[in-house]
Amino acid sequence: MATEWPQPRKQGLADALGWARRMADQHYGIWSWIATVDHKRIGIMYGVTAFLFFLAGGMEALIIRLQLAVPDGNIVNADQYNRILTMHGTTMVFLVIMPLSAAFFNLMIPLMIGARDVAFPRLNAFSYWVFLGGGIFMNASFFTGDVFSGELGAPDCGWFCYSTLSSKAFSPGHGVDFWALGLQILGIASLASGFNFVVTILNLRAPGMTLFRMPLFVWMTLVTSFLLIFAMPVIAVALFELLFDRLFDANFFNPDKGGNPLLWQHMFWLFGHPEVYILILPAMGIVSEILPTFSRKPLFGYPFVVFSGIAIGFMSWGVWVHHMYTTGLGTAANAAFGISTILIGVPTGVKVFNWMATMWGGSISLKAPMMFAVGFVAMFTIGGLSGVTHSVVPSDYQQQDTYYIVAHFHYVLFGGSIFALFAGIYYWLPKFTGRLLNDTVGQIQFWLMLIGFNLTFFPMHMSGMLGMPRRISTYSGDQGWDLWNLLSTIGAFTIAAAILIFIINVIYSLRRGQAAGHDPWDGRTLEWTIPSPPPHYNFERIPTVHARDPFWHEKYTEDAAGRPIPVIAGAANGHGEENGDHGGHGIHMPSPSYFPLIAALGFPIIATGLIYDYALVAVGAALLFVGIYGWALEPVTEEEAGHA
Amino acid sequence: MPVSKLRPPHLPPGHAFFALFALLLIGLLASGCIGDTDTPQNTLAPEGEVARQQRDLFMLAMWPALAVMIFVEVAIVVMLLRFRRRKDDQIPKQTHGNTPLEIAWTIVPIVIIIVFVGVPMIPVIFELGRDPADDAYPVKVTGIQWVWQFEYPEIVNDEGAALVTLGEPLHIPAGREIALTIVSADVNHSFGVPRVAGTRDAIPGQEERMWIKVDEPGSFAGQCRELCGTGHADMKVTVIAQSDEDFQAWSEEMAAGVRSAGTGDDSGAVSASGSGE
Repeated sequence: MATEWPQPRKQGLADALGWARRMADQHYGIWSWIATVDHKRIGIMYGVTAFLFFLAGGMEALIIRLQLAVPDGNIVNADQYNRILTMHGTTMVFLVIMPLSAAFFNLMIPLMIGARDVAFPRLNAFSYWVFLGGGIFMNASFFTGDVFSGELGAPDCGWFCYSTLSSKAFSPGHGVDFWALGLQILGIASLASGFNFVVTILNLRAPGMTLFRMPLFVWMTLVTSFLLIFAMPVIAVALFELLFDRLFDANFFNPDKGGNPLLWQHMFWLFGHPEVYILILPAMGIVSEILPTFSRKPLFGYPFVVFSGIAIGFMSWGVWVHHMYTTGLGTAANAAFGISTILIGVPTGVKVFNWMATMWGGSISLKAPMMFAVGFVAMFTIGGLSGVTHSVVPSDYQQQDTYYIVAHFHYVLFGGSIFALFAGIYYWLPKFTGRLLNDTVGQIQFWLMLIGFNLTFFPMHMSGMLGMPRRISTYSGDQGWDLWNLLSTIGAFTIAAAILIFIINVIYSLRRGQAAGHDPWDGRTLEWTIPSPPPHYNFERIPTVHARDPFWHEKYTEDAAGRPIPVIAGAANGHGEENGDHGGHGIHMPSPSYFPLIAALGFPIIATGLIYDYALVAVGAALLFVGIYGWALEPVTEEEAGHA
Repeated sequence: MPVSKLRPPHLPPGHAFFALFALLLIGLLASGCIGDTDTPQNTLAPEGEVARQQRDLFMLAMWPALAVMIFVEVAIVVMLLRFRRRKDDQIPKQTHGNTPLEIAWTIVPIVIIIVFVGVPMIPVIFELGRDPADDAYPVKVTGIQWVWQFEYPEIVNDEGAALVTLGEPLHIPAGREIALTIVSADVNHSFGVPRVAGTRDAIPGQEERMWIKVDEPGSFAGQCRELCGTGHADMKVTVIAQSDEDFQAWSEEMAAGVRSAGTGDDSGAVSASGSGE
């Protein structure tokens, strides 16, 4: 017994697993995607999935805008409206902007720090599958009502889901359960990826890539990952309490039994405000890469931009009460948080000034990525400034829960995050597809989106100042809001047209796009030193970094007068990707694995079980256990056969 | 000669777009001046003490914000035009930063924002958040899905039961401080009547106190600001401010109504608190 090795056992299963693994190792076909642990593929899957959710959330937005186009709209009823409204907010925050940022973390971080993958490739795959499961689970709630009679099952409590509206008494049905469990699942994905990127960035940097030589996007990813690690547990606790209230009749938020509904708001916003910066810091990172490249100048005041990002990370924990000025926390609390809130505008303003100084004196190329990046600076500034106006506590009493707030955060999250993410797509997608997106079409998309965006959201400042409350499903025609709402609706459809143009551009460019080459934009950072698309091992040789903007310094040197001139005699491509490519032989990459997917599948099943039948909880838990067990015990790399 | 070297005679195609952008910006700003502003819930047309202080503070923050916005937007457009890449462009000087300048643009905004916004804000927070005066006229506001209930402790019948109205306008004396006690019976609501005062949340199990004061007799519209279920959009309220005499007359009439509660008179929504159902 003791001398017998376990290998000959379970021949059939081992064969099957071996076959599946070899299929996964082929780098093509569906299995190679399902079992992939390659950060680039996971990044692409994150991006595509998030974009599909973006279309879903956009549809919801269009329904909202159609409903509000004219007074007394009756496209949907109040119940449907509340559910669609809730799903629009939840989707855009948790299923679009966060995972789109995660897509860029995945795609770019290893390339920018000169690594072959992230620190925990299988955990990375696990993050993606958990996210996908959570997203599908959340959206599945739509179909739990009597759909054919127009009764949707989605949550109806708003994306903030305040108690006591979220309680079983006031929100019967399973919508809120789906919402809370879905967010709980998504939180697991966020936590896993937060840890993964902290470790990756701290430990896998190429030799010479000191913290202060890291590209800004890497810095912002690091700050965001820390925010994820600390913020997600807060919402997890809040969600557990909500679930206990709903599933097991606990009384955390039930005022009739001594619970406190305001406790929910504190926890939600203690998570929620760092969350806001989780949504915007990656965008700031993307823009901080694009502006220097297209201005041909280094980022102005790199340390200031880094430190202001870190400062935002810390300060984001001290401003949550500005979501709760009107809940009666008292004058001292309101005064303190009023001051902290106006102060958090400062590091953001510093960044805007630094971005402008980066462009000043540059040689600015207005390609599509740059247009979107500049659009970000221009629009985000408006959102930031309107934010300052309602950080002023007494003034906010008037703007609280009006469309003025809706205008503000859409300027920050759409004019900010979404514009920056599109900038990132135009900038970096060619690295992974090998083909440039069409620039002219990109310019058309940009202008259409900019105009549509302002047409949608600027009038909301007006309707807000005229007192239009948020989240109302209809309004009467005697309030003076008609014009502004109609403009908003026209704008929303203009945005939709811009998104359609983007989709056409991607499809067209994937087939016919101009070849990107390894460095289409005269880039400054390491990702542009390798071919497009990169080989799956990324770097043939791990680069050694000697300066910030390492690739720029390889391409350009300074003449006697201190003016940059190109390095002569083709020294720029001295990394030997084209010549002397060994095809990656001898580089051991982590083998594909199915276990992250199996483990991830457990969560939606557990969640479904908690709602409908506890027996399913056991099934899901078993699956989770099997996934983690197999994951823990599988060898890190397949034998050489895998590299046939 | 040198001038034409600096600026090629033909405009780069981008100029048309920037003109568009400028138009857009002007359009946005101008849009603030068009449209009807004499609307029922205009937050910037105060008719009461609280709303006026809030409006003044908003203006204090809004004008500098608007100025910074115009500065940044114009600067961006000017920079893009001025530093646009031309065919014969050299690679620009690689400026890495300017520490004194950056310290300046960190410190100056802090000072500006604290001095011009923070400092004026603090006393107003404490003034608007103070307890209502002792002689203020008390009304208890209760949010109920999806109507507002008002209890007038000073309008009582012979047995000491106070007037309670459901889904009726809130009647208050003009020119006198009102002490509102705001609470919810079920889910969160928010009591907002913009021309009188900014909103205050009605939260179950938590009684909030705030004061308001309306300048002149008149009627002011408001509605619930916090998502409270399917009736959220319909949860409207009217505040009727009356002269002292009118209010007195109304109070007496209502007190009579309290006495006759339950006998099915014409004011069906009026009932005495403590009368049970």
